[in-house]
Amino acid sequence: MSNLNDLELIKRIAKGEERALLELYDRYAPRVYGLALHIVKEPMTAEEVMQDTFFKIWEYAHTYLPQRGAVLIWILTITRNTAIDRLRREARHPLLSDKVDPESSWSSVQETNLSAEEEWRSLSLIVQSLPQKYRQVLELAYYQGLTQKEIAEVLGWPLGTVKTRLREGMSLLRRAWKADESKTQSDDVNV
Amino acid sequence: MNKECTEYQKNIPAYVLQALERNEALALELHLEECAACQEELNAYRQVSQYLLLAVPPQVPPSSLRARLEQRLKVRKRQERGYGWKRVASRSLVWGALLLLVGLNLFSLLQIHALQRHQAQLLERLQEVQTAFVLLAYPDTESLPIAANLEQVTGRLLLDKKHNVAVLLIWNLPPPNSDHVYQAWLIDEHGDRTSAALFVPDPSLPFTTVTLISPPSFTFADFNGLGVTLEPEGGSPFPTGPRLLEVDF
Repeated sequence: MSNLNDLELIKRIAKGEERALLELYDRYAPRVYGLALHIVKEPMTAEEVMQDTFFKIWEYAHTYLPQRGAVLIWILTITRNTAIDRLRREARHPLLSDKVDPESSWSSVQETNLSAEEEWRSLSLIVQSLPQKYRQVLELAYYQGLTQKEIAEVLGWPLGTVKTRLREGMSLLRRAWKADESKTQSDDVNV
Repeated sequence: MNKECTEYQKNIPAYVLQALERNEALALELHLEECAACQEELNAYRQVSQYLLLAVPPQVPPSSLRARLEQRLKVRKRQERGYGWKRVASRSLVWGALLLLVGLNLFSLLQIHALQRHQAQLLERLQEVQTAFVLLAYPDTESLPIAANLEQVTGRLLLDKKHNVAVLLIWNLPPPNSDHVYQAWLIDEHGDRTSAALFVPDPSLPFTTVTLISPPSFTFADFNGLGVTLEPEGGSPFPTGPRLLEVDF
């Protein structure tokens, strides 16, 4: 089964094949756990989020549409939503005094033997290279599920400042990733 | 791209991060439905949000997590199978109850029909008995003895030729087999037989009453006697069995 691609695994899961789900787990567990832990911060809660995520995959595999994105994106979107729902249910709003330190969160990259490591490492480096004033609002918005208004309250910043920083941060990422893609394509051509 | 688009596009990065307030998000969604330029911008930023998902460093989960997932899956599958059986069982129960209701209704209808038949027979018999009583009250009624070729069977024919009415009263006549009936024949002076009645005794009663009918355009005065034979169910056009009872007019 290990030679099946992601889409074939999803189709088998939709038919109720347990082995296919476990195969998908073996393939993406570190990605899912990494994202869950990044959002909820606590290993025990991250484990629960991870279990819930794979159960959702088991239940909703028949609804997956390939044209809406890659399987991994679909899985990570479920993970993010599940983790943020968990934060909201527990009414855990991050505070500056809390242990949410975007710097430490992003620098906790460990050496692993994971496949496609280069891909996420490259993306991760771009996020890390953002000035902290942008990274902070992006972190609270995307990985903590806060609205711009809530971020303004948490950080004690004017709402306009939050909006501007979020917009500029996203714009910087867009440009950086675009440049990165062009560089990769150019490298491929030179090879 | 117009001035309005510029304002909306400012909100697109926050929209893909789900950081807009609900009303702002709804307004943008309405605009996106009819603006291709803004949709293109949205797709570009969606790509950025997907990269944000992929950019998080992977972490190796505890090895026990896989076994726990496998265990929960097994429990879930067992539950799903259980629910499946329960669904089948409950559906079968509903169908069974429906069939039982239909069966009970059919049974009730048959019972009603049987009761109606029985009631009609009782009414017919009552009318015959009443006719017999009325005949007995007529001064011109003749009471003629029945000669029987069967043991213990006796009876009389009450005959009123003036009013063209006749009733047979027979005691102890045994019921025939289920595929046979008794048939009464009127006998004319030439010995020709004309059917006057088909009847089956009621096994719950010791006597049988039969109202006889004279053929159209004839009266009982046109006949010399009466005979009763055993015939196949539905009767015969002429006698086929031995004469069991006879009455001489």
